[in-house]
Amino acid sequence: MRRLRIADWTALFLGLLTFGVIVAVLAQNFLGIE
Amino acid sequence: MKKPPARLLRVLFASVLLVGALAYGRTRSAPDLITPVEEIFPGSQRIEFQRGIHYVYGGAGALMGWAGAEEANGYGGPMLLVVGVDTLGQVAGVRVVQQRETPVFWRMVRAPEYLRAISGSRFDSIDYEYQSVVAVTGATISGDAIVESVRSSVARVAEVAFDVQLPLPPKPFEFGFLELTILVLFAVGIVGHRLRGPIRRRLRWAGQLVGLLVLGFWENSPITLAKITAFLTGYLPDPRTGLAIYLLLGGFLLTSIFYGRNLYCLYACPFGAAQRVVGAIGGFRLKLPPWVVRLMEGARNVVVFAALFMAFITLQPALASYEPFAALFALHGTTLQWFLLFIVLTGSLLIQTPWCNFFCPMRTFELVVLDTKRWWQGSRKGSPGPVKKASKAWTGARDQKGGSEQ
Repeated sequence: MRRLRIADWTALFLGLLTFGVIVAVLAQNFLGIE
Repeated sequence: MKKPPARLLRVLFASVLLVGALAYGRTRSAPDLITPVEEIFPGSQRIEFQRGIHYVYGGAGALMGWAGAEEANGYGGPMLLVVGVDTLGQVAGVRVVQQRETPVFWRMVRAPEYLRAISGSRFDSIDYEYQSVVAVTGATISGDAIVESVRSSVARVAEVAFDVQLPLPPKPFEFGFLELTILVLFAVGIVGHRLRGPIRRRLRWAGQLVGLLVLGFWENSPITLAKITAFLTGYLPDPRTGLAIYLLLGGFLLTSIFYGRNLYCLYACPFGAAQRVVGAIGGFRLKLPPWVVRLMEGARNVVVFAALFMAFITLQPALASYEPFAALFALHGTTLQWFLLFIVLTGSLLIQTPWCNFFCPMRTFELVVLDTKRWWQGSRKGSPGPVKKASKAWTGARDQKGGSEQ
């Protein structure tokens, strides 16, 4: 596995952040939280 | 018959769990109509259901009025309102018994305001076209469903209790600008798919920009997980008024099967177009290591499964939607949805169409269709076709070879 570059870290961070927000959106939908 | 590949087995396992969730959702009790009827007629002692309506009796058995409850098609599923009419023929009250709309859109139509506005009217002179529900851009399906449910409930009470036939407005088959645009976009996609080089590239840009304007900003009707979930739960929208989604899903499915790549995503999807426009401004093209790609794709499939599972158990298809489409195209969303839109569009500056590649549920469905097709073909020919690894699929390598990407 090659070493991660800053670009990779950025992409990974954005990806995980997006997934976090998606999960939060779903939780908001189903739990009816504002 | 050949054994299906591991990924397809996982799909099969997920499907079994989803069918279980749906079965559980369906066995849950039918909506309670008695409580809302009692709320509309305070002091009611007895409620009898006869000839399709509720007869409401008060003290000493005196008839207080009637209540009708007829279903209509909403955006996320059936919508049911109960309308009470007193013995003088006035609307005594209206209650929402069941609705499965997306919370943001449900708030947009301001149902309580509408229901208050029609209360007190005589049953044969109700002004249904009250602006809070009928003039809401982007939430027309929800608004129309409220009106339709109230209208048919009133019509039922009028017919049974007052022996009056109230004409319901005819529902003609609607084939308009949106439906025509969808057909044209798929036609452009089919032509583009057969071509190579700059012409294909231009056709794809043209298709997507039209998609962005018409399916996006104008009509706000991209394919969403909510719409697919609605189909999967067995709730089919009325094709007379909701033909667009049949065309979109039909096109998605057929082009996936016949062309090996669904042409909806490539030529019509407004959100894909929005990301490409932003990407063209950014100009960066970060390439991610394959293990990151696999990780994100796996996470997406899990998220899609979880969303479907929850929607099936609660029988609320609209809640499965996690896409930030409405925030962009209807300018309505919760803070989180706006934030999601912001991250995805910012990410588009650095990574090529990140939503399409890593987060969009359509990609999961496309892979399921393609895997199934490949397995089916392989088992008929006796050799299993090579199952494309997820990590190789994401960049749309075929398109790059053909010069379709930019």
